[in-house]
Amino acid sequence: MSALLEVDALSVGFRTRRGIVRALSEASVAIEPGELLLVVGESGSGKTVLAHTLLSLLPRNVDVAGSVRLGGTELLGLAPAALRELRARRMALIPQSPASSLNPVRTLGGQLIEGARARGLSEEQARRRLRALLGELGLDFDFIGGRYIHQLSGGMQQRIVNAMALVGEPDVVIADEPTSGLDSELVETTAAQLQEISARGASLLVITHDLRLAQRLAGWIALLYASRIVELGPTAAFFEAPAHPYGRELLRALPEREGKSIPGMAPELTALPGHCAFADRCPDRFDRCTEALPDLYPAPDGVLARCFVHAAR
Amino acid sequence: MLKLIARRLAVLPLVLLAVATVTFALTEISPFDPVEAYVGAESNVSTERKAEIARAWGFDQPLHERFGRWIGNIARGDMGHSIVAGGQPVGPEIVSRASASIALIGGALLLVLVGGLVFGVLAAAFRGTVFDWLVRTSCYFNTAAPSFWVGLLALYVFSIELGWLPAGFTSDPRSVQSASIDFDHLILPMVVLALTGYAWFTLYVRNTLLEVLREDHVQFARAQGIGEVAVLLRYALPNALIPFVTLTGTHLAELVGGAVLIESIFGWPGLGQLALQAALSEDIPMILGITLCASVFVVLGNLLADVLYRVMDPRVREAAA
Repeated sequence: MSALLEVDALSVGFRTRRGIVRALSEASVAIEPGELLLVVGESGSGKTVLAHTLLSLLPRNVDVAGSVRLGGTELLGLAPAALRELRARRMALIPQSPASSLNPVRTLGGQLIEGARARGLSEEQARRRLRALLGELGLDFDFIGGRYIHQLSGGMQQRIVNAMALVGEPDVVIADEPTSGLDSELVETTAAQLQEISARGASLLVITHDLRLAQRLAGWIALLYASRIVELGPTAAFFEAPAHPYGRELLRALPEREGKSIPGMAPELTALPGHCAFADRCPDRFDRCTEALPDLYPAPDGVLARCFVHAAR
Repeated sequence: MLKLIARRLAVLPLVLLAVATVTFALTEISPFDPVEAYVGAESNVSTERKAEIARAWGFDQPLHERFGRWIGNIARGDMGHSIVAGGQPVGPEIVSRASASIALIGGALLLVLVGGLVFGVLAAAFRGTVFDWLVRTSCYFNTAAPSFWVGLLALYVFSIELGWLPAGFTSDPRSVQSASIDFDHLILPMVVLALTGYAWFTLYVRNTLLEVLREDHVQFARAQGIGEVAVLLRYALPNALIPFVTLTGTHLAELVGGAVLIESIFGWPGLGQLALQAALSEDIPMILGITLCASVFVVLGNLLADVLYRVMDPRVREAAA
């Protein structure tokens, strides 16, 4: 039995003048139907690149290796028409910044309907479903339709892109930093809406650096550090007792815990070390950590951790 | 919107007054002597007679009085009389020549806009391909080649060598309606005039489109599964067109200036040719009149661009309100 979305040994590198920027190194995750996976990491750890790779929205100067399968269909290298079809019918993106994600010089009505029609709905169906979805979120389609995106509040903008994501009844919804730049009240509403989306049966991939949102949404978590997944497991287990030292230090850094930031800096993505990338900052470091690259080893509670501490198990 | 138009139209007389003052001052300090121009360089008119003519024209009066009288006359719609070639009134002469110029400049502008849009969009759609390279290279050549040279070359190749198109005038001078404008006569000057602006517009559309194509809302449209053609034409192009409209307004002034050269090369009896003749024969009332008319044309063109800019961009519309 294969998962709905399977990412296998995915590596993404950007060819730049400074050399190859490694955004993702051999990342493997799988999401079952209806599951929620959080991809968590600091900015520059490769999170958004993962979202854009899944939707094939990467720029041209990029090298991608590995495999991404949706319901058994390989997405990497798929013909443009088939890819468009898959994006339209089975996937949806909740973009990082709703304010800049809709065309500023066109009214919203036309864009909402055009997006829904791309997903295979008739004009009539599109109207009906948008009216219903927006209505559930407390918005009136006729009011929204004649406006421009900049005329609405941040909360309304967020609800509009959420409705747009649901209009095609997708199998997978990818939310890219859904709470960046939102105040705490809006974070709360957004979290509730994401749970609602998940409850409808869609698989949800949430990319975030917001640990409180992660804790709230639960599900599964993939922790990224310097382009690699360093911890993968149930979110509850992660917040209870992280298996990787990076995860542990990250939680410690939360203001409501110790508020102590991790010393040192993440390595440059153009010059990743051949050994554990966290070794330089790790309080538990031993000789092996600076000699070899750890695999993902099984840790307690069904967690996988990229740390030699768990290698012996 | 109406407020903007009203405000701009209210400013128009001030702009014209400024243009009139500057041109008047320029003719005043220029070495042109209208009396000499009137009697002709090789005439044997006596100095006393010349002084008499100058007095009759009011040249013995102080500068500000002459300027005041000229402005007053213009305000009443009288731009004076040409001082050479029969002394016909300036206003009606400009009106009779205007249609030929409007046909030429309007046609060229249309060609520039359509050509710039079509080739700019195609070059952006096929960026990095041979087609894109060809469009861009042709644009660079175009910008580098002076229009009088292109005009003469076009005249030589298409009229003289190939004989495909007539070499000048608005219509066959032997025909009965020699005052009408025939399309085959219009083609060459229109295309050559358009070529001066085509490169700018094409590169502008191409580069703006490529910029807009990288924006979030375009990526989001793609993420929804909207096709690439729709993304290009309905998501990216409307945004790229906004600065394009402003460019059109400013380019109008360049076309008006460029028309002077092109009209004289192709013997096109429009305002440009009239302006050149007036300049060569030191016909000061005519020069002043044409300058004023061209200013009106350019100011109205810019106003139109500003109005369209607001129609197209809701953000500007609101900021202005």
